[in-house]
Formats: sequence, C-alpha cells, structure tokens
Amino acid sequence: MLRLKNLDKVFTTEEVETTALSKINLEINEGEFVAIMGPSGCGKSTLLNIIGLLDSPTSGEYYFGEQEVSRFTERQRAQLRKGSIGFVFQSFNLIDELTVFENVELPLLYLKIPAAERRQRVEEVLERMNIMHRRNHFPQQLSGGQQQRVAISRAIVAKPRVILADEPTGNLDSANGEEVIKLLTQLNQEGTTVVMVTHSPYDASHAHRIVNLFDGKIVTENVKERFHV
Amino acid sequence: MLRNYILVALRNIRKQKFFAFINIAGLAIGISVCLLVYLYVTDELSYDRFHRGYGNIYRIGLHGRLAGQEIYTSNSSLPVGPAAVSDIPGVEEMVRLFPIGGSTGVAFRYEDHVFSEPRVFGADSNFFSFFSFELLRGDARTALKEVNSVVITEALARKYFGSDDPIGKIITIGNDKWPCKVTGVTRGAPANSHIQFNAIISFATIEKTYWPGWTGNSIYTYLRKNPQTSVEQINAGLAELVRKHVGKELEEGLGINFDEFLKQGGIYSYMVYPMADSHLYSQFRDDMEPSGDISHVYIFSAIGLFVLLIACINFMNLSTARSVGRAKEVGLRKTFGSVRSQMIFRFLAESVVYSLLAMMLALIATYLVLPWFNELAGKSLTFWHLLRFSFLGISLVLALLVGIIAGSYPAFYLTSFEAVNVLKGKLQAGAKSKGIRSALVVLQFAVSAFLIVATLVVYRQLEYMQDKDLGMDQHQVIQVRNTRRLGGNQKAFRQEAEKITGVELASFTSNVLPGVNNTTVFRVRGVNQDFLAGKYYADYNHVQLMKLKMKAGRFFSPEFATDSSAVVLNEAAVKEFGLENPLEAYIIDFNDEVPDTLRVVGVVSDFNFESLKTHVRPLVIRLADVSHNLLVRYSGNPQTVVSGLEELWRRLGEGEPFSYTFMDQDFDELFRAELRMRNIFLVLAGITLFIACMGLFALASFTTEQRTKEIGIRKVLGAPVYTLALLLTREFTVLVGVALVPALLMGWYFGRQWLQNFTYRTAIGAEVYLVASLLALVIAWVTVSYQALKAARANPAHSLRYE
Repeated sequence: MLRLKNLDKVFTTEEVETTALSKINLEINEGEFVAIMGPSGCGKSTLLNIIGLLDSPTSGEYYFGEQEVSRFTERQRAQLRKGSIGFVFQSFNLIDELTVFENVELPLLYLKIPAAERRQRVEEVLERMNIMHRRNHFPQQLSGGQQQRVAISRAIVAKPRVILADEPTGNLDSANGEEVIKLLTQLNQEGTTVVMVTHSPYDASHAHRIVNLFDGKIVTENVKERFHV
Repeated sequence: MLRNYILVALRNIRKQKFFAFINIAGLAIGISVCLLVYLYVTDELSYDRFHRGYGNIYRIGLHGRLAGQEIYTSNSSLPVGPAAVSDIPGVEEMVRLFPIGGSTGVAFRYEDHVFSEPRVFGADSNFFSFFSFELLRGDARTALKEVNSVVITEALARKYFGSDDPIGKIITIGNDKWPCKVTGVTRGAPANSHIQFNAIISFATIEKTYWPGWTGNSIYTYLRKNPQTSVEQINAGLAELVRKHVGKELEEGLGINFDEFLKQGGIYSYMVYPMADSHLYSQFRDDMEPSGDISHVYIFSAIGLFVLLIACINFMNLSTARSVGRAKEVGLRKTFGSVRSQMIFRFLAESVVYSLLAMMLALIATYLVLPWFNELAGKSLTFWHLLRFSFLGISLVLALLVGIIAGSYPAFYLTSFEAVNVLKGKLQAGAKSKGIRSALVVLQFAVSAFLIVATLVVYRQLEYMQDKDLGMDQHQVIQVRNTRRLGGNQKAFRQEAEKITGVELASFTSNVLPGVNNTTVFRVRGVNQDFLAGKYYADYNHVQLMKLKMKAGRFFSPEFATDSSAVVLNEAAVKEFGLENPLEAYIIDFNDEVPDTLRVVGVVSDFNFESLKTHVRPLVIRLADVSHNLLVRYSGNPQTVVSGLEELWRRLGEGEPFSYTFMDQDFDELFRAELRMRNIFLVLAGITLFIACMGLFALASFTTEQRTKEIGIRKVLGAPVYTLALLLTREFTVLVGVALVPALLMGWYFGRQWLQNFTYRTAIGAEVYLVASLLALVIAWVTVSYQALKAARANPAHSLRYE
C-alpha cells in the first residue's frame, strides 16, 4: 500500500548539500508491521517524515495506495494525512494546555466529525487504552507510559490505515515500553499497517520485517516471518 | 575585549536583520520624539531670558471688571509707566511699546519701494538700552531720541536699501506720512522673544496720536525694578496711582465715582508680572504674539518620556522574546566557564551598540522632520539647534542611558539561566512575564485607539465648523484693508470698484470679520445699568453684501436723513439689553467724546461674526458712509477681481500699499488651533500605534515561539494553515478587544468634554468608534499575521524533531 521508488532527499543550505536519503526503494504492504533501524543520522526520521507526508522528497516517486503523492502540495498532503495516518512520537508530543480527552479529540475536530460521535469515539479509544479514568487530566499530571498511551489513542482515534511510530519506547522504562509494543502489535493484528523507527532490536523483533538504513541507503531487508494476509 | 563585543553585536544585527531593524527603528523613534520634545521644551523655557537682568524686568498688566465682564489684559495706559517711575520707590526705569498699524501693518515708503509692514512699534528712547536686542548700527542711547527717528532690522534695510548704507535715509511711514530718518539697524529679536519687531519708531514721533488718559489701555509697559523691591510693594504703589488718577476719569466718563464703581463689583487694577513669565505663565491676554502655555510644556515632556519609556520596554520585550535562542548560547558559555558578570557586560554592550545606532538614526530623523515639526509646534528651530554642544552631549548621555536601561533586563534575565536547564531545553523563557507584557500591549493599544478616536472627533468638529451656516455668507468676499490710505479718494474707490467685472457690490465697514475690534459700554435710555456689546460701523450696503437677514425693522437707508443717529442691533443685543419693543428703544453709546443717544431702527438676525466656540455676542451696528475697510462681493474668478482692484488702487492710491484678504480664509484661520490639535493627535496616534505594533510584534513572536510545538502537533494531526493562523491571531484579537473598551469609553468622555468648548458642535455617531476599533484591529492583525503565518506554514517535522 506504500511504495517508494528511487526516492532521494537532499537538504540544501547556503553552502552545503546534504544527501539524507538516496535511491530508496521500499514497498510496504497493507497490514504489514515494518521496523526501520539504523544508527543516528542515517535518515530514519527523514524517511518516516516523507512516508508520513510531513515532508516531500527531492526526487523519486511515492505511491500512497494508488496515488502518486511526492508532488503533492502542503494542503493536499494535510488533507490525505489527517484521515489516513496516525503518528506516535518518542516525546509523546501532547499539547500541554489541553486535557487528555481534548488531545485525543483533536484529529476528529480537524476531520469535522460531529460532537456526539467525537465523544463516543474518544471514549471508546480511551476505554480501550485503559486511560479513561484520566480523561480530564493534563499531560503533565500523567506518567510517561500513560502519556504514550494517550498519544497512541490520539493516533488511532481517526481509524487510520497506517500508524507511524518514531521511537515510541525511547522515553519509557522497559515495562511501559513493553506495553506500548504490545499495543502496536495488537493494532497491527487488527489490520492496521505499522511503520516504526527504533534503536531497540527487541522492539524491532516484533515486526514482520526490519529495514536497515545506513547513510541514507537501505542496506538490508530481512523478513523475519511472512505475514498472512 | 570591547572590540570583540561590538563585533559580535554587529554580527548579530546582520544575522537578524528584520528583528534588528524593528528594534533599532523603534528605539530611534522613541529617541527622536524625545529629542524633538527636548528642543521644544528648552526653546519654550528660554523665552526672554537673553536680556541682561531679565529677572528684574516686569510688565504691567490690567485686571478689570466692567459690566460683569472680567478682563485680564497685558495692555496698559500711557501715563502709568512714567508715574510708576516717579511715584513708586524701587521702580528704576520703564519703557513703553506702542503697536502701530494693527494686523494690516503700516505703510513704509522709500522711493518706489512701498510695502505694508507688520510688527512696527513706537517706543521710548531707552528701548535699546533697556532690552538687550542687538544694535548693529547706531547708538543705543540716542537712536530713538529725536522726533521722526526709526530703527529697522537688517532684513528691512536690505529690502528697502539693498546694499546701500541705510543710516540717514528717510522712510515715509504710516497714513500720516511721518518722514522718519533711519538712525539704527538692529539684528531684530531672536525667535525666543515675546517681542517681535521689524521697526521701532521714536516715541516723540507718535506721541500726539495716542490719548494720554489713564483709562485707554492699548500699549505695553515694562518696568525694571530694584532687586530688593518686592512685587507687592510695586502693586501697592500701582493701586495708589489708580485711586488717584483712574477714579477721576471714570467719574467723568461713566458718571459714577470710584468707590461706587468698586461697590457695584467693578475692578480696575494694574499689577506687575515677570517678563520672563509672559510666554508660558501669563494669564494676561492681548499680547503682541500668541503666547505658549506651560501645560503644553508639561504635556509634551510627559509624552516624550512616555514614548521613550514604551520604546525601551519594547526593546526589552523584543530582546527577551528572543531569549530562547540566546539562552542556549548563554548555557554553552556558562558550561565552558564564562563568568556571569562578563556576560552581563556583553549583553549591555550589545544593547548600547543598538541604542547608539538608534541614536544616529534618531538624529538624522530629527533633522529630517524638523521643518515639519516646526510647523506642527509653531516653532522656528533650525539645524544649528541640533549641533549645539549641550544637545549632542545630552543625546549621547541619552543613548548610553537608554542602552543600559533597555539592555539591563535581558542582560540580567538571560544570564540567570542555569546552564543545565537551558541545555536540556527545559526553559520556559519569559513565561512569567507574559502577563505583564500582555498588559503592556493592552495599554499601548488603549492609548492608540483613544488617540484615533480623538483625531476623528477633532476632524469631525473641524469639518462641521467649516461647513456650518454662519447666518451670513463669508464666501466670495474680499476685504480691502486700510482704505484710509486712499485719503479723499475712498468714495471714488467704492464707486469704481463696483464697475469692475465680477464685482457685485462694495461696502465700507470699520470692522474686519471674523471678530469685532471694538467692545463698548452701552446703556438703554431710562435704565441705570451698563451693558457691554461689540460695535462697528458699516454703510448702507452692509446687510445686502453680507447676506444678513433682518428680524425686525429695517437696515440703514439713504432715504432717512436721521440714520446717522440710528443703530441696528442683533438679536443677542436685544436680549441682553432686555428690550421688549426694540424698535421703540433708544440706547446710549459711551464711547464717543460725549455720550450719544441713538434710536434703534432694526434688528438683524444673529450671525456668527466670531468663532463657533461662543454664543453670538450682543452687537451694535452704526452707520458710516466711509470707513477703514471695503468689503467686495464678487462672482467668478477672484484673481481677475483682485487684479482689477489693485489696478484701481494704483490709480487712486498715490503709491500707497494695497492689502486685502479673503473673508472665508480669515474665518478658516479661526480653526488654526483645532487644525494644529488634529495634526498633533494624528502624529501621536501614528507614533503610539507604531509602538503598540512593535509591542504586539514582540509578544506575537514570543508566543509563536512558545507554541511552535503545539502548532507542529496540530499540523501533523491535519490542521489547515488558516485555522492555525486564526488560532494565533485570536489571542491578540482578544487583547486588542480588551484595550478598546477603556479607549472608546475615554474617547467618548473626553470627546464630549472637548466639544463642550464649542457652542455649536457636531454630533459624534457610533461610526467614529467603529472606525477606530476596526483600524486598531486591522493594524493589529497585519502585525500579528506575519508571525502567525510564518509559524503556521513552517514544516512541523522541524518543530517536532528537536525535543
């Protein structure tokens, strides 16, 4: 469902050109769980940003489903992004001024979903993530694990086809990390495509496939197990 | 080390051009306003202080109350000065100034040079030794001794004699054609003198034309007192003189003795006041030049300091707003062992560099706006005022002071960060001061919006006054002045003038509108009470020419031979005199040699012959066949009419100067004060609005910086750019909205108060407040939108990466 062909990303400042990604060819199927690994600065986050339609490539093609999206405008990308992709960040990225409920509600607001339905869907997700009792708290009042559960709630509340997770366990202790990975695995089993950037071989071991990046190039792709469609 | 600091500061400026520009421009405006105010205030305070021993020079003013009207005038009578010197111990010397020619000026003739010169005075012979006006030629002690002597300014000498030696030349002066010998040339009065003159004629020349009585007050008297003598002693002496001399004259004129006059509530009292106070502190009116007002000095000073303070605060705000960026640098430097005091010094040095740059800009700006400021403030300051050592010194001190004050907050605040926290990114920079800054922005916008309302109110009233129907038609009327210069040809001039193409009608009057130059005591026959009313003379055509309406009776007519002892009143006079049947009444005019009893033949509808600030005053019109001014109503091109009149004047006037004005322009002159006020408000509104925008800009850049992460998150979640821009703008809209409430209320209140000054005033509708609100909001939006759009369009990937 995601297909990258000969994709390059070059950052240009006044004097220097830095190639972040070079000739990336990658295909991610519907329902797959892919882990992207590699050392710091190898281009993992850049790749994830492009997959997540936050950034556009310098050259190459990117098919999101059937659509070629690499030349999409900011507005078109935002349009596609908000219904189809959920994000989970290492540092949670919750808005401090909003409550748990309001944070999770945000994507639905931008999808212009009526209030009653929003309420129902947010509550469903919070219930599922076992964080309902914290619905009126602010992010600072929660533990790291709880914050990441809120962030995941927010990522899935709009029922996206893809979840992109950028080192989702990086700021968590092992117990909470374990729980987050379990949640992602569970979501994947229910049919959501998951792409996860990680440093942790243990986390990566939950994925169907591991993509190793080095200096902006894909060096290996080892399929741990064929997933069943 | 210092060189290094300055280098880094300059590099920072180059790196952040826009921010640096805003910051320096803002400071420059603040300093520039401050410098202009300094120039203005020092000039105002310097008035008349260039005379030797100015502290002992006093003027005689008159406080009187007559027929219920209170008068404070800087005029005095002819004999009071000499009597003070001879009768009051401690009064050492006096000098008197006799204005000649009034607003039209005096005719000066030398060969074929004939001009009407304003600001001509007669003066006692000690004028140039009493005052310190510089005499370039001639002897200060003897120049004004002889009859028919005149001392002229350099400029006048050049005008009449070119490069010839003016001394000894004869100028023929005035309607009486005094042949005056030039006995001296003076540099003239500096701009900061309340006495401004073009020529001084010896007292001996003009003595006969002035009435020597104690109750005719039309001249200016100056005394030099002994430093040991008190003001009270002199005033007591003056009171004694009044009792002795004025009493007698009042008895002859009004028929009551002085005690009775006092008992009826009358006051007639001469009093002295320091000459140096004339410009700013005087309550005495009718001075030769329009005076200043100390309250303006206070207001201007306050505004100057206020603007500077706000500019400084904005400077701090902008610097602090950027502290997030600088904080990292501080943290790093601290980590590598920099000492806090060193860094404080560095930040201060940077801020001083900014303020010095701002000062240079401010000096240039001040120089550029000076001519324009002169017009606004009614001054004649020049570039040389800027180059004075004291001024440059003050500028430099100001720059250093501003730099240190404005830099202190960022310096101390930024360097107080703990290195560890900064590097970990835990910093909530300036979060605690956000409330204060929001309050500041509210204050700034409140002031701006208030000034916008004020400008609009003044503007509306001006428009109203200029369009108001005055009860007469002041348009398309030329006032030919001083027709006495035509001698026996006056009547011929009127007859011939009416034949000029475009001239519809011509009519003589003793008075030039707007205003009435003669206010006189009247009585109604059979009633023992004084009334004050304006009085002027006019010929038969007056009502027709001015398009006045008759309320009752008739205007003067050649069919009635007895009209020379008739009067026409306006409605206000009928009311003031309490006349039930005005057309059967007689009134007595006390201004003539013997009181004149006059029959009322008509009542003219009230018309605004003065300003719209007052109710129409009682007015008495008498008949004169010829008089000092000829009103000419015309149609068509005024230029052809004027050249026709000028041509005619040249034929009949025997080389006398021709002077004229347009009546509607003379009326517009009345609004000069309001016009100036509108302009000052306009400028202030502009400056405060600009400064408020700077404050808002600082706050907006700070807030967007604070909210970068939130904006990034919202964007990732699919928020379109416009909703984000709206989100950021909303906060500031609320601030401006909050500011508008007190601003509009104050504008409404003070606008109403100010309009109370006018008897005839415009109505201020809701649209004024609406316009002011919209203007403030739109300007705020434009200011904020730059930041908001920038933040909203930024790639969220960047703002979320560095956590």
